Amino acid sequence: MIEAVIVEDSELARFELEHQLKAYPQVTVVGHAGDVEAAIVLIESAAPDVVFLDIDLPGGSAFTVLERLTQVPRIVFTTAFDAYALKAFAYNTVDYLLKPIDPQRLAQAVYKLTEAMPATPARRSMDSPIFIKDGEHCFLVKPRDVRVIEAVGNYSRIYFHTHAPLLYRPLGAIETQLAPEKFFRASRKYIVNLDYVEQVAPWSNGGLMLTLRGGLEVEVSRRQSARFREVLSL
Amino acid sequence: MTLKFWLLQVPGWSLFLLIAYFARPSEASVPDALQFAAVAAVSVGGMLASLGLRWLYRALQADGYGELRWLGVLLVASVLAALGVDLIFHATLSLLAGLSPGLAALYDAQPMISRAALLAPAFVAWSLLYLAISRQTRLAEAARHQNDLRLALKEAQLQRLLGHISPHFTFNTLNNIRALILKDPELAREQITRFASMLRYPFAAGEEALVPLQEEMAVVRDYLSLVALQLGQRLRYREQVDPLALPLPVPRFCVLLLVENAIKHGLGPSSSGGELCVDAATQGGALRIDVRNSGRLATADGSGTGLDNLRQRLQLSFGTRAGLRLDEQDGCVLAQVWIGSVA
Repeated sequence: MIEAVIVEDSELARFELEHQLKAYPQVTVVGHAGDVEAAIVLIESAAPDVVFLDIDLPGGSAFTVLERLTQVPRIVFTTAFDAYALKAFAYNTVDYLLKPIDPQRLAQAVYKLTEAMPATPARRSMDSPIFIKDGEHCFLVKPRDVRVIEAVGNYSRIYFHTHAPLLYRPLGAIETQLAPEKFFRASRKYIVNLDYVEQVAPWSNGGLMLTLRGGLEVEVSRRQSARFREVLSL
Repeated sequence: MTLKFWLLQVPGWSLFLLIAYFARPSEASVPDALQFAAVAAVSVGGMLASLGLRWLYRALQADGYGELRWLGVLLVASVLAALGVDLIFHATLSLLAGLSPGLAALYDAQPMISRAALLAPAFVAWSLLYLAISRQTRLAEAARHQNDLRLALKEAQLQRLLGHISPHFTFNTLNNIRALILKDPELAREQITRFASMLRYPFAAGEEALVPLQEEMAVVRDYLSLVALQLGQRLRYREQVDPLALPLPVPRFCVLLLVENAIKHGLGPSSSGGELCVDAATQGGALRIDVRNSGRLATADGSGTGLDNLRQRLQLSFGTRAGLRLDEQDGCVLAQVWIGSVA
């Protein structure tokens, strides 16, 4: 069962998409929204599996919605014309539909959703992506791909693959959204994904130095080192 | 060209006549009147021959010769023309010599080829002048033609830009009508008709740049009725058009462009929507159109190009007696067009 939310500017467009989705019994539409504010409230409260999201919205755009969500569900963008806005995404991680929506394209999109949906919801927090818009570039990053998060004032720098975009959210706020068994607060400045830790070496002052896959080094403060040993039962 | 040609031709050959008369060798045995008549006959002959030269040059101009080649043609043609006139004159005189002793004396006094010496430089001068003037005329004509083309092209481009229907609007409308087919087939049919008349508008009535306000307003209403499918309750429309203003000419797309801007930059992006008013008033043949929407005037948001195009369009059709102004007033954005009066 896939729970979906439709965010469309026009009432007729919402009606139209819901009508088209009736062909797929595995998809249940759990709510509609017509502008940015309503969309954020609805998505936060309904926590759907997927959002069909119009790019052009009253009160902002699809990106305004994504930037303000703490947990981003899977997104299928819908647009009348400006698919070029999606070129901003670093990878082809997003799906989009051009309105009026071709039934075959919709079938493909739904098929992809069904395939990608994890069997157990427990894993979702590692797979439900974070949306980052750094200047012209957009990213949807799965937490499992993130190696390190670094505090840069009120921003956080997210290291994943070969990218390190800035997210306008303080490190503490991000920490609360991440799975605590995977993400470890190494110090005031860093959060580390434990899956990427390759080497642990003692460091000055009773701290530790972690070497991560891909070459990053992160220092663990003395206070957190004790907790680190605990977590990994060293 | 022809008038100018004869205005130069007649005084030119009269001047030749005077010079030839006063520069003639004195012939005591021939009466002055007869001498003058002879010079006049040569001048008329020269003038007739110059028409032949004109015919020749015109025929050759199409080939686009270089300067040197022209010079050769010009010298050969001038000398041949001079010899030709001289020969014909001499032959005619020899036939007339038997008629009177005066003519016989004239015939004896002026040997063959004696006039060619004066005629040849005259033809060279004539040819140079003719070619210079005709080249100048043709250049000016080409420049004017090019200018006309440029203006026509600019006007066509402007018209095309103004009549551009946004793809965003087009696809949203199609999507909305698609839904409407399920919900309200009758209304869907109506909206398709409106959409069709909107799409047809850029091509209607011979693509004239100016249309009666009435025609423009009909399309504006079609457009707004389609936009209402998208915006629903968020669009509140009001219009007040003076019936006397309806037949007055306005640039095609003029009101449509302002209304489109109001939707795109004013009501569309706002969650609560807003009010849109179109007022048209006339006084003494002058027309004022106000398009007002609730909202703020955003600076540099890309609406400038359309307005610039409309400004140019107004200027092309009405010069300084028309204009466009964009203002913010009491929480409203006001776009105002005036035609037929000074601001």
